[in-house]
Amino acid sequence: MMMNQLVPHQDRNKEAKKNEWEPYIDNAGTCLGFTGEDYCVIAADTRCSNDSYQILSRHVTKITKVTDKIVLATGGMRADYCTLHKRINYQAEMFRYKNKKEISLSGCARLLSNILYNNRFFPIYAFCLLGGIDEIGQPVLYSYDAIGSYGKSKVGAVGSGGELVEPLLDSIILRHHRQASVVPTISNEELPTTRGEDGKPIIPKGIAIEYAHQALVAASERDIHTGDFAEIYVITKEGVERHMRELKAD
Amino acid sequence: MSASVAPPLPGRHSYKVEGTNINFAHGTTCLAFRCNGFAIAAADSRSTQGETIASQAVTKLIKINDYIISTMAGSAADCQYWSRYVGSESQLFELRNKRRMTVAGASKFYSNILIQYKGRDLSVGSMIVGYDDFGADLFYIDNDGQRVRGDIFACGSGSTFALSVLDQEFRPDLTEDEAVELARKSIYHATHRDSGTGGQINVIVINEKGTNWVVKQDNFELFHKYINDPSPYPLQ
Amino acid sequence: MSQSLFGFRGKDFCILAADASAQASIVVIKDNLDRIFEADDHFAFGCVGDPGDDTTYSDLIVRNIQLQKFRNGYTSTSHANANFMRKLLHDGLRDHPYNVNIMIGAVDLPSDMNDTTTERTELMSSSVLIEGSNPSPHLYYLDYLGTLVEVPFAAHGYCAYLLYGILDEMWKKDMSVDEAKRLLSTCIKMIQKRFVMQQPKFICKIITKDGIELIEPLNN
Repeated sequence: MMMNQLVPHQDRNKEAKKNEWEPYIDNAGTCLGFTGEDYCVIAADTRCSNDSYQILSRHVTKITKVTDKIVLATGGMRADYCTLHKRINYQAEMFRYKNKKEISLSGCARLLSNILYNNRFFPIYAFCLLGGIDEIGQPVLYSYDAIGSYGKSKVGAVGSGGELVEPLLDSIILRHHRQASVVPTISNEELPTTRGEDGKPIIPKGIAIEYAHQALVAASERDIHTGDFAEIYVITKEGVERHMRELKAD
Repeated sequence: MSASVAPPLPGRHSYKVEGTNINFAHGTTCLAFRCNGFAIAAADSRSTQGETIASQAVTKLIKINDYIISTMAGSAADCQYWSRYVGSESQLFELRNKRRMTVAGASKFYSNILIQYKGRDLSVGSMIVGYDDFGADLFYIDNDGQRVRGDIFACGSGSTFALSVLDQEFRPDLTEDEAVELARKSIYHATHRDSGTGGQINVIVINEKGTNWVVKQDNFELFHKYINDPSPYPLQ
Repeated sequence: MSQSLFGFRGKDFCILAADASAQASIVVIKDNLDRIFEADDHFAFGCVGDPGDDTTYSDLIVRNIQLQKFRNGYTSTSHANANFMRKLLHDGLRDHPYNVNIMIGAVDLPSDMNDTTTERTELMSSSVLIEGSNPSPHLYYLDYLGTLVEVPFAAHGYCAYLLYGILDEMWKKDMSVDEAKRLLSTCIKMIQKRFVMQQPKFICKIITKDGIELIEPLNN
């Protein structure tokens, strides 16, 4: 009661906030992914920042290779996703030893969801993209929220620049928002690529890597927490390729 | 993808109307109703994270087993995870008892889980729709632990719009085709008025043969069908 | 608080009434909800409060009263049952409170009238001997804190503000069933006329020596 009279309510709140212990930090960075005919691309920048404008590192990986067919990229809090990557890799390795085969993509996806949901009441601050080649040889991408809700998607983007990149990918990869009736000025003739049966473009692997790079370049132009290098993983039946590209370092 | 409600993390906020107790299950519209011999579940497919559309192609009608569907409103992770859990338990029940779990049983089981977690910020508003030995059945359950049986339910931020359309034409003796059309129309009107609702419209019919996915349609196609005035909002 | 629950005692019966709507946020999701639980042949209680808590608590009570009857072979007195309900509320108050308000209506039968008598009861009947030769009606008011009072009439929630006046004015000792039904009708009409929330339907039950029955209010 005494405190109520001495300190105005609002000030008390501010004071409390300043000294409050904070378990989370957003280290930012952007991850993106999409699937093509026979490949899945997952890319992320390599910058790690803290809550203010400081850059902690320019060479930090947000992507881990779980098996020869599965890659996991995560944005959010670095401490959390490092641990998460280790746990997934550990589980995948144990699966390998116990079953003498690799964990399937859908199995790994469910496993990741369960790990995240098991921390429902003190969430792992990590936003995941899990991509690769599934049991029947199809490229698949799963995207997650921090507490384990997940779904298949053709394109996905998470992290600080995710909201900038996702509509870009919708437009470039899926050719959304380009129905002639909606936007008559943009015609499909401008596309440099061949088209599949549904009239949508087939993007060759080489170009897909460029698209992934360009999307991160675009994100780094508008998001201060994205930049330095682009780390691009391409997963095909043959295995995983890793490409490094430069981004702006300012 | 991602939760309709952001998890309690820094810099994220939910849609609670400040200073009130009105806390709609966030950004979605689901409805379900029961007619003679069958039940209908319908939902949109938009998922939001704060103000951003996280996905336009989310499946909000979750299969618990071949005869029971749960609809999803609230936190996507909570709904997905626990529906999955109820699904696996219903499968075990079937193996142990050589008969299917009833809709009342499944919803009670689900509701008991939610009661256990009451007050711990789970966010679930779900209709459990299905068909069992006693016919079509329908329950509404939520994270307060409420569980009520009924004929018509709707859930989510657009539920009031859907309900107002649904209430006009609902009869227990609707045919399946009429019921599907009514469900589609109701969800459409919710997508039209509520920005948390959108994407595709999904409708599932559940009868003695099991669940049957009958409509999966982009709401864009339906604009001219349902909105009588072709330009209700003329440009100035 | 907006849910209505009230009841009163008559000559040899009790009447309970509760509104039948269920609410989720601002929407009425059900208009034929039965909030009056029948825990035993002559023991009923209405339960209003937080959604979820009401059914959880009521189910717990109903099953436990049934369990006791099954184990002992005889029914407890309404006084015992009411105090059992009170204890459960008060035990949970500090760490898992049930936010529910209760109105109990019951009729105790003298031992020789009790039709649940079994062989086992005969052995133990001395412990449940109810004195007198007439069925005695009891109405208990029980709130979420565990306040238990036996009363001739009572109401919970906002409807109490509207009804206590009427009940003070019109309730009479030893009312007949018809008089009670008329009083019931007056009360419900009052709520529907003056209360801001719509409560189009009420579920009313009468507890007599013959059991529990649904009743309709009688218009004057």
